[in-house]
Amino acid sequence: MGISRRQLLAGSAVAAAGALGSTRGLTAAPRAAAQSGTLTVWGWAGTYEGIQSQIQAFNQKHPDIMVNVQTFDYETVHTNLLNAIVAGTGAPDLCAIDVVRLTQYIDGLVDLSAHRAEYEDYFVPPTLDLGSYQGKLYGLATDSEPVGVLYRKDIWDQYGIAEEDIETWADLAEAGNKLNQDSGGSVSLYGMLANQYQLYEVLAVEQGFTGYYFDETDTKVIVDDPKAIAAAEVMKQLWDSKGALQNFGTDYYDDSIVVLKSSQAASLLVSPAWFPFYLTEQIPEQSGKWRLMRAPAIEPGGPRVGYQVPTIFVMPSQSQQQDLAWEFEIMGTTGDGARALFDLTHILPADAGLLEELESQPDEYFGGQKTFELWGEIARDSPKVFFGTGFTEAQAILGNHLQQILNGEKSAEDGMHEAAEEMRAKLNKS
Amino acid sequence: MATSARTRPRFVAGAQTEKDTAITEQRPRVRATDLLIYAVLILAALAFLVPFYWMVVSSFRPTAQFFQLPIPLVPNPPSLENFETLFARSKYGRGLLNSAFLAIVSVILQVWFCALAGYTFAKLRFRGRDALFVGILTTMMIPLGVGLIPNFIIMARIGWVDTYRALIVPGIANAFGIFWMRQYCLSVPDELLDAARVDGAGEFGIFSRIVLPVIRPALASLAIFVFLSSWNDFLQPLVFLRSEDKFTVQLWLSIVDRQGNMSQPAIVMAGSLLASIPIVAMFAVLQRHFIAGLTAGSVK
Amino acid sequence: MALALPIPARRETAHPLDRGWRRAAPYVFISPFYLIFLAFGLLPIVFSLGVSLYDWRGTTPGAFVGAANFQVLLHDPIFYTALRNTVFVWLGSVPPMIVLALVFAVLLNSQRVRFRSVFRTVYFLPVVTSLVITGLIFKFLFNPNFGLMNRLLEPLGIAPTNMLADPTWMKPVLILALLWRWTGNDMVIMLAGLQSIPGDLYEAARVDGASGPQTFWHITVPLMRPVILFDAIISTIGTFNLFAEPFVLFGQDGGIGQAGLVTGTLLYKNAFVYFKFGYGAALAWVLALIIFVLSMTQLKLGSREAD
Repeated sequence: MGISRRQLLAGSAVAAAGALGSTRGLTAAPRAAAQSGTLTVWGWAGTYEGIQSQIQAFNQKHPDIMVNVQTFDYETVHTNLLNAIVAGTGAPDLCAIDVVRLTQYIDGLVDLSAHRAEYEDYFVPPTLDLGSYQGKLYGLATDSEPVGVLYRKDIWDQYGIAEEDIETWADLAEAGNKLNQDSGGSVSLYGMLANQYQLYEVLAVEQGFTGYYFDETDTKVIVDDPKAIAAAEVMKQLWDSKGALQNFGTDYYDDSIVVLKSSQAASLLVSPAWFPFYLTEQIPEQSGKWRLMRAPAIEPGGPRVGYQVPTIFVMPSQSQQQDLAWEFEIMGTTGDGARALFDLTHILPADAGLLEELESQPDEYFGGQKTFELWGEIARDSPKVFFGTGFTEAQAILGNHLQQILNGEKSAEDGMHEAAEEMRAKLNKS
Repeated sequence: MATSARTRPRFVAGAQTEKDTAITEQRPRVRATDLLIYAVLILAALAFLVPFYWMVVSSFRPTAQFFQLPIPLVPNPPSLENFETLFARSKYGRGLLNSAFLAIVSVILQVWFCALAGYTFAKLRFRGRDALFVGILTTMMIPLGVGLIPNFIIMARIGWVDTYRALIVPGIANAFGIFWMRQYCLSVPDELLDAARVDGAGEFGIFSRIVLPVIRPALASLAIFVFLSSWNDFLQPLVFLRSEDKFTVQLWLSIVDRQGNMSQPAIVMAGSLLASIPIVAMFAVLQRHFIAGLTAGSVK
Repeated sequence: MALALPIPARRETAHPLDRGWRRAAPYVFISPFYLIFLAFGLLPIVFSLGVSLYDWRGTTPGAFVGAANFQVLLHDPIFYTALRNTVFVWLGSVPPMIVLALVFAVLLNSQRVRFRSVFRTVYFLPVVTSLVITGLIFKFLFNPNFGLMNRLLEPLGIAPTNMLADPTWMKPVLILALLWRWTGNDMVIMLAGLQSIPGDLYEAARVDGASGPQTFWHITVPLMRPVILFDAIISTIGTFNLFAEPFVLFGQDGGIGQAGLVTGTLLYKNAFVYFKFGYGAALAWVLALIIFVLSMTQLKLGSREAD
């Protein structure tokens, strides 16, 4: 198992730049002790490339360490990491995982909190918080995922909808009614799926629930809190709007591309920061027509934020090279490593310095708007979110009850109460 | 038994080899029922083909056109983009070779051991036979995912992680294979075996020289099923393999499918198309082995 | 199946070793299979039987909870939804598939039909595709925006709908996908089975003046019974384990109204996404029991009638 040939993918130019030595984010490691061994990293496409690009720079400092980057697909990485921890052998030194699954592996991961103070400023908030659980830091994120609304300025202008007039979700629902009327039903304002927990999560964050479905101690389920019920009612309002394209597909993001491409929908309600790049790739013909705006608030004057789920790199405690692994993790997620990843994936970086650089850049696809500046603002305004135990199951349970609420089978109050009860029973929470 | 083609009954199975049929059959006038049959067969063929055809067309369209309507009969412009991306992002050629190796070895081992064991359960009498067989059957009914993690722990302990052994050896105990072989062997005439025993043939000789030729259709079909299931398997390679050089075709397809957060169906389609070709070729060639009538031969 | 062979009286084999070997042979023949089966088949299963009694989530074995997992499971409405859906899919796909497979096999085995091998290859094509691809193909076929299906239905006056998000249509779409994907597979099984029927039986029937359909019902079907039974049982097992196609079509939660949630997806979700192994193991055991009961019923029904 030598150095992965995928180095070529990241671009030799970047690797050369990395060889000049990344000065950010590295504490001077003592060169005297020549360490040898292998450093193994697991990830899936779009996550590990930052680390990949830093292999040459890393080897300049540690020439006797062989770096082995292994790539699988998303599901496999999670299964294999679990297998390795349970079997007690075969875990990598660094592993990319979806942050929502963090709590499933915690017992087998290294607590990285000792490093936190030093690197607090290197990352855009709330990156270090979401990589932590109950006060302990476990992983660094490869990207930052604030959420906003994307809209087609040309269509909005055509039908007289102005961004400045949209302050609350109710405003958006109203605008949808008007759009439907004016366009004779040919254009919808936005698409919605009946089990769209992603939208609920935006609203939950706006309501101040840093645990999305759980309280800050991660012991209580809060989806039947009056504020959560209010959020569900907002969703119902959005669903009932005539400007809503209901159940336009089965996969929110994949199928959104289709309805956006055909101009059937004029906006995307829940756009995490990683989505615009796919727009530019899949719908290049609409370049210049899009804009980014903050998510509307629930109440006038309320928070207009949202945050989704980045990928984080964690360190299994089986690792024999924990110091080196940390060093490499920092190299891969900050400075030149972050830049290499961004160049390849165009996903909003979690590295504060890189984001600052990007903020001044106008985005052509968005008609010259400085989207990175706005993303940065939304990220910094986001509360310290975290992902508790049983998160994925909670998402599914909520999605199921949400469907019944939106379809009118239940009231928001009943639906959320039932969802809460089911979560309490299945997730060992109160 | 020479009979004129005109009076040969329609639903004759295994009476003669295909070769004989082609020579002696004369074309009588076409009956209405024949037309109906052909109509049904052709309709069914179209139904089976159309989705497959869409897969072929999508593979040869430029990647960005994947979601675009209308779907043309011939890609315009035809493009190898998907294939290029596939090979750039993976070691797909190597993957094809790996999958082929695994499949062929699995076929040889599984067909042999399942035939041997299946025949034993069907035709040999011994203590505990039925209990042992039912035991195997019932494990078939346990969902596959259940044993995955304990299996991994076992493999980790014996050092078989990232080896092909881990993929090939457990597969030999293929409960479906045994079930299939046993059911099929039930139809082998007992008199055949008794006669052979009377003639002094050993048990193993009976199996290899008398039974095997008779059950050729079952062997050929099992070979195809085992090949397919090995070729399409992605759960096992996923859990047990670590080195890229060992990755199989299905593993690569799942890897290239996800780029960051979005899926890449066009590339997966192209890869699947490539992966389908060897099996289709194999089937086209092998099919005569489970069609030709063979029991007639054994009677002589 | 009387053969015109004289069967001489059995000679007692004199050699004791020979007799001993004949007694031992069966065990020797099945031992490679059985040893591997014990190590890699039975052992993991027994392990998971134990796991179902613990609250195993993620990396920690958790506490011993006895039958608690089973209790939660049997009170979980989602489990019953998945069960109902699976039974629906089973009814809609297994009997039709067996019938279709048998009919195609008989037709494509008959000298009356030309280009048989071409037809057989075409019918087998879908089986060649992996399960994930099958799911993808049908997902795109039924996509409300660019799927072929809606294009076909438009001229018939049916408005384009998103069948994949409509609880009424989700299972029929899945059934269609399964019929497309697996009929060729069953056809091959039937074809192989047809070869075991000796030709003279058909000749005798013809001489007696039996018609095609009569031959089919009175000779072919009864003699194909072991094979048909095999097919029925493995299709049943397959349906309850079905995971890849519905997963791709409807997502891991079974889509709108969970109308596409089947037991296979439920098991996968609990075991490999939520990492709830205790609960997952309990689910697996309950499913295994259901499959066992169904299979034994089919076996009993199948072998009851004597020729």
